[in-house]
Amino acid sequence: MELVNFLGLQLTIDEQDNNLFSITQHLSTMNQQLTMIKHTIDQHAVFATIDLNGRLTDANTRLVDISGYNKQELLSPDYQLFNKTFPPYQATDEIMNILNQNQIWHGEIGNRNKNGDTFILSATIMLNPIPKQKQYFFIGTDITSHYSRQQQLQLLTTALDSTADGVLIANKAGQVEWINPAYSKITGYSNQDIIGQHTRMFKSDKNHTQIYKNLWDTILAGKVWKGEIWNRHRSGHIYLTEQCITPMFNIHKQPQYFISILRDITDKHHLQQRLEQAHRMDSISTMTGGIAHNFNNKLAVIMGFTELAQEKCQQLNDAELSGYLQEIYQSGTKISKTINQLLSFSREKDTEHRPVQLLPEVLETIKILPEMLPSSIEITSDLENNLAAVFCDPAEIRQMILALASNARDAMNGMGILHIKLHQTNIKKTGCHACHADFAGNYIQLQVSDTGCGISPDKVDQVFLPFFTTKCMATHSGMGLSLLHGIMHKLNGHIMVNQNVPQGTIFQLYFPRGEMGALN
Amino acid sequence: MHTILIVDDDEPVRKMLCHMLKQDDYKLLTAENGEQAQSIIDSNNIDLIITDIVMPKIHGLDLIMLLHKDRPTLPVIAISGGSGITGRFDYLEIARIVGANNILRKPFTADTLRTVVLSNLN
Repeated sequence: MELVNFLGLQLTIDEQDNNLFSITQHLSTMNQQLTMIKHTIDQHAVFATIDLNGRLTDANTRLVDISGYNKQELLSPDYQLFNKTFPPYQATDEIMNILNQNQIWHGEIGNRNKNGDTFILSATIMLNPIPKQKQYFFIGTDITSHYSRQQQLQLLTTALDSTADGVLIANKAGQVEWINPAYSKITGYSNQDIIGQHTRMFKSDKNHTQIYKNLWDTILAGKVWKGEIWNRHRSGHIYLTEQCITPMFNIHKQPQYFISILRDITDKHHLQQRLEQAHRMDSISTMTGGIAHNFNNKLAVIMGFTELAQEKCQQLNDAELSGYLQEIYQSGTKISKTINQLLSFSREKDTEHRPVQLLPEVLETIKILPEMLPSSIEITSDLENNLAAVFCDPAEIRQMILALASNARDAMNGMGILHIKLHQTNIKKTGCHACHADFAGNYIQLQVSDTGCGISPDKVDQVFLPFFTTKCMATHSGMGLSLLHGIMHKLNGHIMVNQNVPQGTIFQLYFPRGEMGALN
Repeated sequence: MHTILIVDDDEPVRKMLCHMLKQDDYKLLTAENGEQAQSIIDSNNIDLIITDIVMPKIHGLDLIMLLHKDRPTLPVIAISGGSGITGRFDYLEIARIVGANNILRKPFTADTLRTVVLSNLN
């Protein structure tokens, strides 16, 4: 029986006639199917054949559509499907090398269409499996729009990874889904620490609970929340953040995620506080100058007429009335001294500045301290010799030591140790507790410490304001430390109050050395 | 008899200064401000001026500068309770620079005033 092998069907001659009709039908069906497959492929994929030199020998309509060239142009020797001007895509030679080793090449190729626009194909190239057909099949998919989105995504990821602002994405339950590296840096928590946790992990006790309620009410209502929140760092310290939290909506227009952009503004906040404090001190300085002027005018009249009345009393030999007037005059003199301190604070009163060795002045002052301190207060000192001169008024040095000793006496409630230290020191950048400016370098330091009740940290900024007193300084006029502030800053000096000691207070006066000091 | 002009916008101060100086047999004239002072100076033979600094109309410093220019031999004593509202400048020091022969910071004693007045008239 003769067998006919046709399209995979093995038929006998006898069967041939009987089945001719069905074969024809079968072929027709297959042709239709092939046409449909080709049509479908043309709709989606680029199909082309390439010769051994990498030139196109055939191309489907999809490539014609994408490239903008007609088939004749595509098959001309001038057209190059592989364009090495689109790195990192491989050039023709490199692709052909792989193919010539009978390997299948997968990759992405880029090119320009006839209008000059870029298109990207994800392609597979392989040798035609039919022997003697020395050609390659090229099958590709247009991924231009996908590639463009991917590039945008890459750009966004790089931007979010690089930005100094912390970015966090949380779901509507408040659980963290994603953070950028800056968020880790600012909060101190690693990616692993944060992902899946509730955002309340950053919460500190420093905020009013109303802030959080207002925040959640706002974002759950689909609105943007902006504000400042004190957060707790992983290490435990508190820092101030500026945050903008924006809801991201699902297809039902309900908030699905929240994106929080966070910035650490603690330094800015402290700087602002310093500026406000400096401005406040400046305003008080101006005000006290004005008040002092008016007080002195009125006091001149009171004391002047008192003095004239006293002269009259002496002429009339009225000792009793003269005594009363003397009391008025003495009170006037005390007020006058307080006003002069006010004037000194407002940097108004004239003083004599010259290069001064602090040691003799400090020694002289220590000699008179026992007169103003009870014997139950021990006075100790540690004074360095051969220090550089300081450009100042010696009277002011004595005045400042006396003011600090007087404060110390009250702080120690009549019993304790008053220690005075004088030495040269090199200061690393630090902020003055009185004027709040940063300072650093070589200074002569005059330190007065006591073993008294101390000053609480929250009061340190206020002690230099006029009329400020603490409980243990209640007997004071409150002018002493503001006087210090006025004098020290006239000399370009600074003041530190050490409140870290377990008991007592250390006042450190930093004088610029003679060559550094300058008159205002 | 020497004639002294007292310039101060504060009436009690003017009165006080007059009382402090009346025992020394001076002719005492008073003005409330620099403008009034100028017209008195123009129509009287003044030997000494005691002037406040912070005053309305013509400021004490302006008055001192004008006198220093027009009548450089006329002695001027500047008196003040401190600075103006700026709190930054010492008006008395400025008064000295612009021509005041002496400065007195309020409050001062009657003796101090009398001594300074006498030294300027001699």
